[in-house]
Amino acid sequence: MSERRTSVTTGAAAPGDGSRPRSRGDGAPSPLRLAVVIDEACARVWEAWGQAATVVGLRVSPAVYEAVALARPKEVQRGYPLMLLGLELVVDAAVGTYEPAVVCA
Amino acid sequence: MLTAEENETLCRVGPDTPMGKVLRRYWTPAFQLKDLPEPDCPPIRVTVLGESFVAFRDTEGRLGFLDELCCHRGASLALGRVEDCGIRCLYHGWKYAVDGTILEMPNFPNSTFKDRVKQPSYPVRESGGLGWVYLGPPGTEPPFPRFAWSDLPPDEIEVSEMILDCNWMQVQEGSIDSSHVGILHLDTLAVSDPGPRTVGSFKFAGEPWDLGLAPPGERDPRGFGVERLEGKDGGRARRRGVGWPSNDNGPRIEVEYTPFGFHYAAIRDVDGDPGKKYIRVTAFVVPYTAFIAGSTGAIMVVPRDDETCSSIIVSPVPRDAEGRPMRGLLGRGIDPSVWGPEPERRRLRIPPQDREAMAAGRSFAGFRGGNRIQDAAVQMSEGKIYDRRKEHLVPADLAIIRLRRLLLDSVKLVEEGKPPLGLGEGFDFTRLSAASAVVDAGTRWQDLVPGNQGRPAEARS
Repeated sequence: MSERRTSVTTGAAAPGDGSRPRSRGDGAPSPLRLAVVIDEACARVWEAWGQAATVVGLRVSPAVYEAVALARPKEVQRGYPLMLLGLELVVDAAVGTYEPAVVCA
Repeated sequence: MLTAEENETLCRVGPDTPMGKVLRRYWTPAFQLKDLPEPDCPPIRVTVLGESFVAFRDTEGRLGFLDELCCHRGASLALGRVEDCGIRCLYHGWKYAVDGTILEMPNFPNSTFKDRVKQPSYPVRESGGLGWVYLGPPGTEPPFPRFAWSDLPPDEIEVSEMILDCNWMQVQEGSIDSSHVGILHLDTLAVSDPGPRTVGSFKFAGEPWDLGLAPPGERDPRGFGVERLEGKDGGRARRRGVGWPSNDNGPRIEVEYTPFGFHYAAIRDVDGDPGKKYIRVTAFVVPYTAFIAGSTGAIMVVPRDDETCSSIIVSPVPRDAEGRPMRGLLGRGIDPSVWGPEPERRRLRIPPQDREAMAAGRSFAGFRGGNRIQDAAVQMSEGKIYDRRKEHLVPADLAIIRLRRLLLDSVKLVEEGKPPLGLGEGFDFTRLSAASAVVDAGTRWQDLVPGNQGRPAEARS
């Protein structure tokens, strides 16, 4: 079987970051949208694979890291690494909430 | 993976829920026309999006779709009499027209009440063997989506509905998930395109086992509809047409937004031919309908309530070599004790697994009845409402990831007073298609489905 993951199209018509959550009108922060985080992360993984990179992790904001930890108490209790899309999460305060970045080998 | 809040938003469909408000902004396939076959036939109770309705066909053949409970004292109109251009409640005899107009109030005659109040009614259309309703705010109906098969006469279209005891999103996600096809459905592939395959370290001989799937008279244990290529590829049979020419269970996934939602390609290596690739294009029409590669029809997943849904297949009736219609194919191979097309048998019971056949390697999944049974078994096994906090998606799940984002983005738009995504204003839905093809490696998959192109779903918020 040949090597796959050589290119990616996330959509020529993809709506860009237009849907990235903003704060609510009342000043309260919007609830975290993991659906958006994962979609953005997945696009970056495919892009990296398209450049023949080996992706070994995902850098995410503290808010995302905390949300994943909160959702997976059993994995945290057992000392498993926190993962998204099969990739270990690396917390990085410099990363925007909706701008996860791949970590390549 | 979703947050608990996102999962709730995605799954709950009642009239006061965020997703319920989104789904009500699209035309919804709600019932089968064959359940209301003639004027003044018995009415039917319809449960959709967490509400109950009554559908009936009046003396003039017009369809009515009303709130189920009589606006007088709340008796079910599904118990009512359909007569003389209306439906009459059994309790006190109030009678309603298809548009909800109160025609008679025997226990309050000569009142102006009936001129001022109506039984809530909803727009209803007949198309593709289905009754479609619009449950959104009056005056917000989008254009009605007419697909290539929408206007076929009843004898040329087949509708098959299976009611599943799980949340609709579990089934919807399965309908657009290509990477499971070469795994979960190995037993189906072994009938239509026999031959050895692998799943990880498991080696599957791929001899036909689920023989009920084969057309009557073609129950060749070596597979049906195949061309024998002995001497050309080591004796492997190949189905006429594309078949399933790949052992690649890690397809590359490419997704594009479209005016109707999105379409995506699952791109696989072709066994023994590095210059080719096997492409399956699936088109998803928000929010219910998927056009699956290799099928001429479509599959629609419609929530009945939060914990049950209808999986509806609509397909043009194929014809045999002599031009005779071949009906009944959609339920072929399914044990009649677990499901049937009649209204009282549409709720699926998952059949037992044949563990002996699995252990012996004759079957991969152990479920007879083909893809629909295999799909339903795993989707219902996730529970009534799957907790997506616990899942570990992988990049091959990109279409599922995109589906969730598109729906949740629509929630946000509707909350902001905007229309949801994928209404396809001005788009010609009759040109929409899926595709399954082996092509040269340099071929663009979008060229296989030229009718899907158009102005994409707009940027969201």
